[in-house]
Amino acid sequence: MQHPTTPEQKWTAIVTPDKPLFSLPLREIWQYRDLIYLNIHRDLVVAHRQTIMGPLWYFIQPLISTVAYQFIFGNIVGVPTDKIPPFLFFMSGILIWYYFSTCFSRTSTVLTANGGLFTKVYFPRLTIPISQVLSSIWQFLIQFGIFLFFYAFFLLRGAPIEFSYRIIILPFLVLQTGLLGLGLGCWVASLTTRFRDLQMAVPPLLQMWMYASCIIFPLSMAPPAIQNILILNPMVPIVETFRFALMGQGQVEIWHWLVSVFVTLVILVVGLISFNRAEKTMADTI
Amino acid sequence: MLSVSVENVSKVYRLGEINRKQFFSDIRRWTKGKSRASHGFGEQEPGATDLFYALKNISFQVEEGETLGIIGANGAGKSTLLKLLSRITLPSTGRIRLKGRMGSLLEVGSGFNGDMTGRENIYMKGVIMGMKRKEISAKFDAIVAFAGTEKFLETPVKRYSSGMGMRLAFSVAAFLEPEILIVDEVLTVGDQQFKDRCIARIEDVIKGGCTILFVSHVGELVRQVCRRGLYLKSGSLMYLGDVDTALDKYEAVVKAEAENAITVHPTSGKEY
Repeated sequence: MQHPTTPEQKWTAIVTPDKPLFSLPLREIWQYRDLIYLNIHRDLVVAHRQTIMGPLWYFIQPLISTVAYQFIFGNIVGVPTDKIPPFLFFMSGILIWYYFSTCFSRTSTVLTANGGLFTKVYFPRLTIPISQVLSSIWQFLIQFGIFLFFYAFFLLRGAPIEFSYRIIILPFLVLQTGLLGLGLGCWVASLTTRFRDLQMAVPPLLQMWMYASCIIFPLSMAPPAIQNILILNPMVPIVETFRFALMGQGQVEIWHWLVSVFVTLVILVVGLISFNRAEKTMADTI
Repeated sequence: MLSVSVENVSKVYRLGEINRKQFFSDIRRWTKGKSRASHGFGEQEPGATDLFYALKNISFQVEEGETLGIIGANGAGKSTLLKLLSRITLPSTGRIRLKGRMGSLLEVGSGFNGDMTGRENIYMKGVIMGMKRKEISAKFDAIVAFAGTEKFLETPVKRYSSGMGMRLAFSVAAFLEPEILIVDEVLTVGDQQFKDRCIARIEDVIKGGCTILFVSHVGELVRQVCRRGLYLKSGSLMYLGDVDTALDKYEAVVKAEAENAITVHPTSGKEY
């Protein structure tokens, strides 16, 4: 107790009850990049352990939904698809929505699902949601590959779709969707450490959200008054811009997208602050 | 040079369930504009009945290369102290400062994924503890040899016997080469042969100049490994100094308490 502290004493970690409201420990996360890498590897490889079809499931799942949606909403209900071939219309919507909902639902359960680990070992907690989003991006890219296959098929058959320079916006949309899922997921995750109510609420809300995200109908089909409400949903401009960038059909207004980018950033900041706060006491409240 | 410095650290937990009642009392506190429920325990007004002090105003320092045994009965706050030191949760008051990489052999089985093979789990566990993949590759053979699970490397860990899994987990942790090593009751895993190997490994680590914080109920082990002792009782630091004195004090208290009969406290009588 009476050890004199030498002047060259250097500390690598100082732990106090308080943490700044917003902190992004980027350097620490970088130090743990191998953890992120192995987590992504695990998500992609281990998910298909003990299956016969293996990674083929990446393709089968969206294809089943696309065929079902086309049959129900295209053939039976007769939803107009802005001149885009219904198959591509539904598939593009499903892919971007799948991507968003995996990002969101995976991150929203990280704190409770990894509770056992979080209460035993310290590591920057944010590495887990980040790896979830990155593996969702990878999964999306694989699925997007199969979409491009059908896309080329329709293009060559002379469907009224247009391949153009607009596709340069796709990476931004993918990034934005990932950040939206990350921010919202972190927010829900941190709220569920204390109260588990949201865990019950997420699945039905996510389904309702899908209906409000222009996955099964184009924005142009909604009455103008409802359109104005729908564009407040950050996913609507993403989905519409995604389709427009790929196929050059539909309607996209730049300010719709800007609103969506703004909402995304707000959600991201709120989510990270909330996650940061929950991180401090998570081990006690999980 | 100091390796660990703990200053006036307390840890408060709130008793009872987190539920609707809790939610409304949080809101009431919030709207009253009092200090927010910033620790998840509500405010820490002294004397509040629903609060539990797991640690009360603890201060101590550990020099580099020192071996400190932490002793005390169940519920004395040993695990809480280790959780704070390994940064799993934050203290309610005070400050902890650490120098160097921290490795902990706290419930080593965690971080294993049953669907992944032994090899994958070694890497996974290693990176969770802050190692780089390269480092793990360099030590891989030694880790496997230490655990003695060569044959089962490509088998999912869920098919391992429980002892095998624990051995593998311990081996990864044992090769972390941290500057501060926290050892908590892990020596209860495995058979006598493995236990001896573990102790030998810990002694090697000590020779390498690593600071060790060692928790055990087994007085003999503590005496064997540590030179200093820290005795905790109901969250308070009772004694810090020579390990023999600390153990003597602890054992004296244990003996005295064993002579007292168990007293039954009447509760509210609510049936579950």
